Amino acid sequence: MTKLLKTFQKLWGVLLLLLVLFLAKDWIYQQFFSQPEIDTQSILTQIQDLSQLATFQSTYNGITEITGRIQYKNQIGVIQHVYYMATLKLGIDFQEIQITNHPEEKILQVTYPPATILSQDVHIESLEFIQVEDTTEDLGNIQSAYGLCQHDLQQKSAGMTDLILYAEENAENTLRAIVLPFLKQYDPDYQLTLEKGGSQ
Amino acid sequence: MKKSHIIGLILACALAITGGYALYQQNQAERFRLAQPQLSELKNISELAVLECYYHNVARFHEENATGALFWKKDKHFWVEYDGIVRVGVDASLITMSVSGDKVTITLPPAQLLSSTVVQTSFHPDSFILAKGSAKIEPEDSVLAFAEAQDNMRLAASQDTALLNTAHDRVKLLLTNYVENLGSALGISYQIQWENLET
Repeated sequence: MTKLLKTFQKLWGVLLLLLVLFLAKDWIYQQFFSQPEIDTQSILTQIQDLSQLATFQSTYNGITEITGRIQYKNQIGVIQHVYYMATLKLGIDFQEIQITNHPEEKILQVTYPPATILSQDVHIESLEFIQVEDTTEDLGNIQSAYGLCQHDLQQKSAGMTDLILYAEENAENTLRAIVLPFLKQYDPDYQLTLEKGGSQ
Repeated sequence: MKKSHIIGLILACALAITGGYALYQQNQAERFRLAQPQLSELKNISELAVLECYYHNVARFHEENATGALFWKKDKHFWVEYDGIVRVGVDASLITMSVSGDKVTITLPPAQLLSSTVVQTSFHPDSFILAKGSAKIEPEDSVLAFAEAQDNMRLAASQDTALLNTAHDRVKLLLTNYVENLGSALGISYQIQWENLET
């Protein structure tokens, strides 16, 4: 017992140091070694707060046909073409964005919904006509031509894949601009991957 | 315990505490440095904020008395549809920034047309619409039409104030988001002062 007491007396300083280290271990770990967990909710809030950046406006200049009776041929065909200018609003819904964190691989995955056309508007004052066949029909009826242009835009917008692709690319760049500085500050080795989801 | 042992132990403790504190200070300084807005980051964000737009356009040509002579003169009147891509944004190389305490001054150039390209494959014979009574389109007209379409698109995009304003506002919003979030990480509420660079 006396021997044990003597050993303790010799080592009290070391034991005290070990005790201090033990008590301060959490603080030391937090200050020098730990990485705080990525707060995906805060990133998501940041993205959603900037939802006005999710939409883009694009100008579409199109041409549609007006059919009618072609003079001297006695048949129905294209007699005029109409030029029109339209504004399209397209974008992705930032509220549908999902974030998944993969801390082991140091990857933050952001999944966004596909872009869609949100609105389309033909500018009636932009209409211009070009005649391609002689006809006896009344030409230059703005109201009926406007209706045709709206119908044409509606039909063509379904196939505007390039326009949609560029809208998605812009949205991806916006997401990069929001998330990357945050990741760099957290850990420069962290990678961001963007993936288009399937819904909408 | 010998006196020398005690002194040695105290010295070791003092050394460990001093080293630890220095490391802590360095860590804090690094965190603070990272929490300060970086000009390189502003430029990266501005480049990501560049808008790439797909343009479907129509170039309209009307050349009076293009062919023939006297009473047989004919106009050349045709339209041509084509696709193009324009890039609109701010020139990131012109952005400057200064930080003084919690005040961040950012000088931002106006948004401009950065590039425009007509998609050559969209320019084919089917995309030409010839008016009734127009003179025929010759191959050189196609070349001219392509060149004019490029100019036309460049002009249309550089005068599209809605597009330019959108591009400028996007950069501003993204940079504000970056600066404010950095500040909030350190509990600093940065005040951003914008200065417009006239070009």
